[in-house]
Amino acid sequence: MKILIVDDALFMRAMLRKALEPLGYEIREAENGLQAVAIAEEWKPDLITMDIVMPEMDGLHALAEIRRSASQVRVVMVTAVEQREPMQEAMRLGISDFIVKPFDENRVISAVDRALSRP
Amino acid sequence: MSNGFLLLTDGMRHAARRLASMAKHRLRIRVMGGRILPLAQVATDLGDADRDMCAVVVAVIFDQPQRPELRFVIGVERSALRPLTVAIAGEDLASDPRMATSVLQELGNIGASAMSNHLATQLGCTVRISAPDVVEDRWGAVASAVLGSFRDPADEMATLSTEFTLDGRRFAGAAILMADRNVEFSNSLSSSILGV
Repeated sequence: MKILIVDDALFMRAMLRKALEPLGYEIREAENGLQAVAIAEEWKPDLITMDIVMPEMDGLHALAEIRRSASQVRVVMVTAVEQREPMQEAMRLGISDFIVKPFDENRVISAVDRALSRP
Repeated sequence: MSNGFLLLTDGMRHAARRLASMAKHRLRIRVMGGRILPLAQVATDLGDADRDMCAVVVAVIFDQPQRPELRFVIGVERSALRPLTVAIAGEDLASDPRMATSVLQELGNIGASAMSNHLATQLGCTVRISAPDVVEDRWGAVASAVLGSFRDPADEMATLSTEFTLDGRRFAGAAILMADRNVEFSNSLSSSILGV
């Protein structure tokens, strides 16, 4: 299974990679929404962990772009933003889960596992 | 003390709690207090103006017609950056020379998000934040640079003194909040931002 980690902070990408790679997932990383859209189109990941606040293109715009190409990729938002409007927008774009930073590693693993096991 | 200032210090306490929960080691962040400082007195009264700091700057933007903006700045003394990085990222990740800046960036992101989430709940409007910028300089120079990023700054700013204790060692930290003219710290923050 392929997972694309999208976050502008190297530290967060490293933490997510450290949690998910030992479980056998193939990992790639993107530093902003623009990179995420390009990699998602070319690499076709099974799941994306997506931050919201990023330079160049934020996570919600990136997700909208990815959905525009009819992609059904599973998406787990991993963000410090916890406000109603962006959360509702993320739900409308069909995310599987929403994790608030700072996160517990086990919470991420179970969210990814659950999202990927859904039919 | 004004309700605007209380709202901001309360927001900072939310941010401190969230940031402390990131650390694998024992990290305690205390917001010691704060004050509102007229811009004319920044040069003389800022405190720690000559201290070498690593700071992270985040714009906080209120989703209102006049787009009022704050800048949220957290600084830690330069000597604290390495132990802070180890505490938050762990020894293995901290060996990457790029990690300290990234940890600081994420501290700013999570701190500013906690504050903006608090303000959004209290004011009943959406509050967005920018991607964080890391600046290393004297604290006074950081404050001047942030001030220079406003076209029309408010006449005052809020300074909050913080202290963090990491595995028993105490380090100085500081936070400042600067705003454009649409935001009034010393009166009702909600009135000035929401225009009601």
